[in-house]
Amino acid sequence: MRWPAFTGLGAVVALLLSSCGGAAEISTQASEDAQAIAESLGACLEPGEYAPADSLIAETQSWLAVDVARASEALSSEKWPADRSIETSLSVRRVSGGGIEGPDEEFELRLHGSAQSGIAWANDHEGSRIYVGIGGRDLPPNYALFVLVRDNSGNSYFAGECAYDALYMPLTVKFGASLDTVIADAIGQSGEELANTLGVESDEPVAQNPVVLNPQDADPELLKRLTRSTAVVTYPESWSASTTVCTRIEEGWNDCFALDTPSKTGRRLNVYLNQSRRLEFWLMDSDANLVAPLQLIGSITVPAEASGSLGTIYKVNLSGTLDASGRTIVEPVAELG
Amino acid sequence: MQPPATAYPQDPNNCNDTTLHWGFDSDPLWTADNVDRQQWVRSAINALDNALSYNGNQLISVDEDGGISVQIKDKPAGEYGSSECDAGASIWVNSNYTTGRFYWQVGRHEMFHLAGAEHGGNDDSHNTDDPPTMATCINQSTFNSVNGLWQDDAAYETWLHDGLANRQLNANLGFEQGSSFWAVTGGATTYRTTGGATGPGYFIWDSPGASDYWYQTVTVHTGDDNETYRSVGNAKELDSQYKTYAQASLYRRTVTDGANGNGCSYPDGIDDPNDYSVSGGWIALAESSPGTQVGTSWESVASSWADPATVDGFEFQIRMYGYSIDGSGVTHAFGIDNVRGEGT
Repeated sequence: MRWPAFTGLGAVVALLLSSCGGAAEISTQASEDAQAIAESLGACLEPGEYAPADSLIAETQSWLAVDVARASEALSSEKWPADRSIETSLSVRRVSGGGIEGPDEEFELRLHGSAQSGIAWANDHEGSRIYVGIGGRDLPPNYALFVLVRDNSGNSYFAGECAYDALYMPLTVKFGASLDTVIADAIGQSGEELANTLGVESDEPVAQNPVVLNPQDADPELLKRLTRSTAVVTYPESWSASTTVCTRIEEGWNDCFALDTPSKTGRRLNVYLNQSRRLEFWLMDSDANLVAPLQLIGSITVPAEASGSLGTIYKVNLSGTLDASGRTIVEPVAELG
Repeated sequence: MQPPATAYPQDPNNCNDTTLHWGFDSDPLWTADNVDRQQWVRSAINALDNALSYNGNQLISVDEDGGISVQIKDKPAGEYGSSECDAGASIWVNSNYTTGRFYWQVGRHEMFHLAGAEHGGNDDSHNTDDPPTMATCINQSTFNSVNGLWQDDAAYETWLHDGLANRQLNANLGFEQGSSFWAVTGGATTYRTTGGATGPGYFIWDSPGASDYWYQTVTVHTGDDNETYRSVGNAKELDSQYKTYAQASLYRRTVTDGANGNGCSYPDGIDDPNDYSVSGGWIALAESSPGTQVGTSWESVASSWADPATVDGFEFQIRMYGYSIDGSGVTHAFGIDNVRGEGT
């Protein structure tokens, strides 16, 4: 069995070369060569839709380092079909964090036959390694999520049909010049550690810190403690700007309206009130940015008499002079109508 | 919407069929490892039948009687499938997966392309834990664990094929699927299966007063589109002795997509609807007059058109307010139907 020697010496040589004159040219040529190799090993005849490359690799539960020489010997006697998956016994070593490799073992690996191009290439380029990741959900447990080829300079490629489009290019776009370093760190990792290395984050929308008092957004238990009401808000016809007016109580922010549309009859706003029935009116930017309100216009206390058979309804009049910027009201007032 | 499912694409793709005739190819890979993948793909495609238009008609009709070739191919892990509508329509899915959730998502995704759908974001507007059918650039581990048509799928079918004069923003706008995707802030509701304003279904709503409303919230990634919007609804009172008022409203918040694209294919200048944030308060965008009184025949209430500044997208909330009151000040139920937000 031939296992390639550690590539540390190769890395030192590369460092020495890069410190000489013409390093940029060498680097550019090297990156172009790497891209050509990657494209060759991951050629695509029939493109499709792909999983995100980073999260595909992040699914890896186990890393296996493949004995290149033995795999190549097997292929020399019988090539794999290139257009379908095969299951074959390969000599591998399990790899744990830090690139530590376990003892040799025989493993029944499933992988797509098109990946044999990577094995052949690795066998022809001394010091190259082959790694596969297994353990993806929704796949057989021994199915290779990817076939990673690393040459003795530490360049990373992916072998198999469409691997260039599906894996190499997206990862290159994401990591740029750090791709090979990221891959080197990732080898042997799994779970949260691997996700962190690959920068795979939760896809949950960013939560908005200010509480928005709306049945879609707020905790239903919070809303149960509040009273729904309707404010009919009038304001000077001269107020015309892209800024908005929102109402607020201690528990959070209610609905808003924009000042770009005048209303003679008043703007009807849904308002949640708490027991204090105190309500603030705020001038906000055009997106009603709740973390950066512009100005407190004023506040009112909704009287008990406002509640009737149709709920709590009341009129509010806003006044003052909106300046030319539309972002400041001179002598702002909010009062019950 | 999560655009009407798909980031509110301005123009459908070249495939835009409302009736999809299809059939499986005879590849033995369908049952490799004794896994029946056809049953999952069949269920997935059939779910496209579930969304109904404002008049109760199917928005998309699928029939397994030949036509579009539904194929299976042995591809490396991570390559999900594809669709082709030119030169003989077909779709294919990867044979190496072994779970229903993979084939429900990919099978319906590829077939929905042939009905005009393009890619959208990964969080359904109704349940943000679930990716809608046209999500892309997502790992299959996030695919839904049950088969079904989500709110944004239904909204996108409505947007593509409803047949009304303007583009519709939300799902189940005619209540032909009951109260699916809708919620109400208060008051008893009763579903009626005959007598709607257009299709048979509608709701009788015993609104407590002026502050209550029906609502549906939908996220629409608009990209570089600059559209105008309005709100519309139908209402009628149940007794001419009452006074019944109805108001259709459209509220909005600003959606901002991630600064960098994710490399996947989206229409209309959309960069990355998988990485978005919603900010700001709910701003009233378009409202019909709150004092619009309706009679015992179905009447339409509609706002004027509003033209907000172009942003990456909007979170819209379509609301229907109203109440019916007698001379003693007692509130009563009234009928509502076809509540929707529209875009140009």
